[in-house]
Amino acid sequence: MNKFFAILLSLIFSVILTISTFPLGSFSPDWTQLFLIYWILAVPLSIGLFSSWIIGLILDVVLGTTLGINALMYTTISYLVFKIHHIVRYITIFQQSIVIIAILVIKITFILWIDSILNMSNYNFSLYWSCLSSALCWPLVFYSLRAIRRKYNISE
Amino acid sequence: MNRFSQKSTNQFYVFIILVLLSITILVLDHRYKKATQIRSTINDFVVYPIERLSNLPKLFIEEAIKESNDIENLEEKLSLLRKENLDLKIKLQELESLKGENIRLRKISKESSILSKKQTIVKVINTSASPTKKIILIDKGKKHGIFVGQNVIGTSGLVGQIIEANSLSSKVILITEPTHDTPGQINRTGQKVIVSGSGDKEKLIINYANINSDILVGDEVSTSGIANRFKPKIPIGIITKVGDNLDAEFKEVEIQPFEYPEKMPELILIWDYMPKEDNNE
Repeated sequence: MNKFFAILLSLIFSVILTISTFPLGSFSPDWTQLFLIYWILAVPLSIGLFSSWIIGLILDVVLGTTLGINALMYTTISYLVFKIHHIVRYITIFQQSIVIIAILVIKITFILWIDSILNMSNYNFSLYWSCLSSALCWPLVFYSLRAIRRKYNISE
Repeated sequence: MNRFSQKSTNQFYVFIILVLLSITILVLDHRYKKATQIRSTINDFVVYPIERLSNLPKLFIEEAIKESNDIENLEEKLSLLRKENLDLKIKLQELESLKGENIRLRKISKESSILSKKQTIVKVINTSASPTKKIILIDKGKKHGIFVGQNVIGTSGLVGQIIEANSLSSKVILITEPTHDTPGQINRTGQKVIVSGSGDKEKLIINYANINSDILVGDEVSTSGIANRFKPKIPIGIITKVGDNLDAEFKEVEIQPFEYPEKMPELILIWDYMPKEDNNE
């Protein structure tokens, strides 16, 4: 139960971070995605696909996008990260940042693609900047969440 | 905690099901606008508390700044406000007599006298409620009777309109948002124009003003009431720049809006105008 609350609180905190970095526009890091990737890497059985889907749906409401885009992408990214977590958890932080960039580029390409199919123009190409800022924030997220994980002894 | 991710094949099926579910919701929301209920439920139970929570540190800082304001400053402000109040009271008296006269004249011209002025003052919770668009969050919602399309004004001009009403909070799209257009007219000539946002909070633009049209720097622009979206005659802004490039197809016109909602703590909702629902999307 302890583990559940720690993860839940950290995710709520990530949503707060997302809301408070709205003024940065396209440069604002994708906090919730980073937090989610960390928990899947560190404790693979902690967050399942269904939880990712719910989080994505909540993010859709927070960001005001068409309901379902982020739900779809969060599920996909979680599945992807779960498939590669055996490799990613053993490489260095710097290399992980590069993996994060790759994952987020995939995510944003899909988002822009869906956006243009539905003809909504919610986003434009400057959204790719968020990959870079997210990758820069990854060490911060990684070390702070690892400290929390060690303090509360969260493991599989 | 999670029984969904125990076996790889199992997980794959869950993944496929969730993807299909997401696409269903996507289509429902985008094509048929049927997911509003889901959206506002999630908003009321999950997002609204988080938004309130995220607003707390800012509130504390503002409170601290208010506390540290010295008394002299406040007294000065008080005297200023008193003076302003007196001025306004005098103006109000004039206005009352004018109002009576107006009603009388309207009766003569057999027009209905709509002078009821129900207004609601709302607080701004978050001045940027979207990463990509100019949307602000206010603290009143469906519970207070707020509806989508309601006009939002400041003390001196138009601010925007409600685009999403949840039970305790609502989102307002500003006229400075680049994808938002406002039907307007030039007060001096009565010419109808379309006022678009530019993304810059101190600039609005008119994209399609004919090169021959009579627009001068200093003209005031207000809403025209065409398309029944906004109440007519709400002031929007003042024209600050008119391009004189004769080779261009349209005149470049820039407007400085009367309102800067990013800086205002409070906004006003008006009730005496109901936008007509139309499906022009």
